[in-house]
Amino acid sequence: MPPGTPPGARSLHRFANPGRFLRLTDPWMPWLWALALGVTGAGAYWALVVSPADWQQGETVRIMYVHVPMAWLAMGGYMGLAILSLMSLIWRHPLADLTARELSPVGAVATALCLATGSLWGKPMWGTWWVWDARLTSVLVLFFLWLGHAALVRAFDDMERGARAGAILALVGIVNIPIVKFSVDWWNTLHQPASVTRLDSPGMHVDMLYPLLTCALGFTLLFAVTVLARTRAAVMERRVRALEMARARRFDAAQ
Amino acid sequence: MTTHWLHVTLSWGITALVFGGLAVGAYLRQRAAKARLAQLDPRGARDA
Repeated sequence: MPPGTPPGARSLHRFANPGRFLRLTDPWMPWLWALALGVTGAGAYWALVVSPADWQQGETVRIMYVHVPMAWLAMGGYMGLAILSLMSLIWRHPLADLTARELSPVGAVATALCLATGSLWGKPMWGTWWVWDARLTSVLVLFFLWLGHAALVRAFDDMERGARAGAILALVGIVNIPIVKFSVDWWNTLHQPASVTRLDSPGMHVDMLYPLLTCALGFTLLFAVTVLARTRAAVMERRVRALEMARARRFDAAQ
Repeated sequence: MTTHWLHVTLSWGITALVFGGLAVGAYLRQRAAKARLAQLDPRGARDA
């Protein structure tokens, strides 16, 4: 490790070796899957069976327990993509590229689910499936950014060039995150303002807040473990390609 | 089934299907890569 490397980078570079990354994460995978499924299952039961209906929205409030976690994952996941992009551009961290490549399809799915469940909630409550509202439109842009990254990194034969182009796109797109977050405050939107993350006090009763936080934790764990499993698979697949190429070269040499 | 419960069921249903499908896909992909790697690199996980 070159002198003067900040300690944080030193701990991150421990994972630069794909073999070590696989060995370190392997024993944790079953436990992480079990934890993610357990928390998500408990959250779903709490949200769908135990928590009360809303006096105005009736049963449709139960859509909140999937819509809000997907929205948080769409934005939080994109922050993760931006951090990985910085690690990739600054330190050329090999795993950052692979993780970003495996993260964007999952992030795009979470954003699509956020839009779909919002639409399913909007029809009975607002009387429409879609409205060009500042919040909905900026999340749609976020969805296109996720899709753009997933497509761009796969558009090059040279994986490293694709990763670099994707990293630049991800960092440019970061400007959209505060727009999504504060759109409900800056513009007059049909979408409601923040209720959970309001700094003074959450505008939600604990009978709904706690199942919401449980569902958010469960889906976040599921999101993280899915991306981790995909990254592990990508590392192994890269290793398989290298071994197959070596085997083919030995075969050719023997001819 | 009321309209409300129909929309709740659809929302939770597509989330479970899509998100669950993604998780199962990741699990199966990882298992296949691991098996293929074990085949190609019998030295095992020493420095996979």
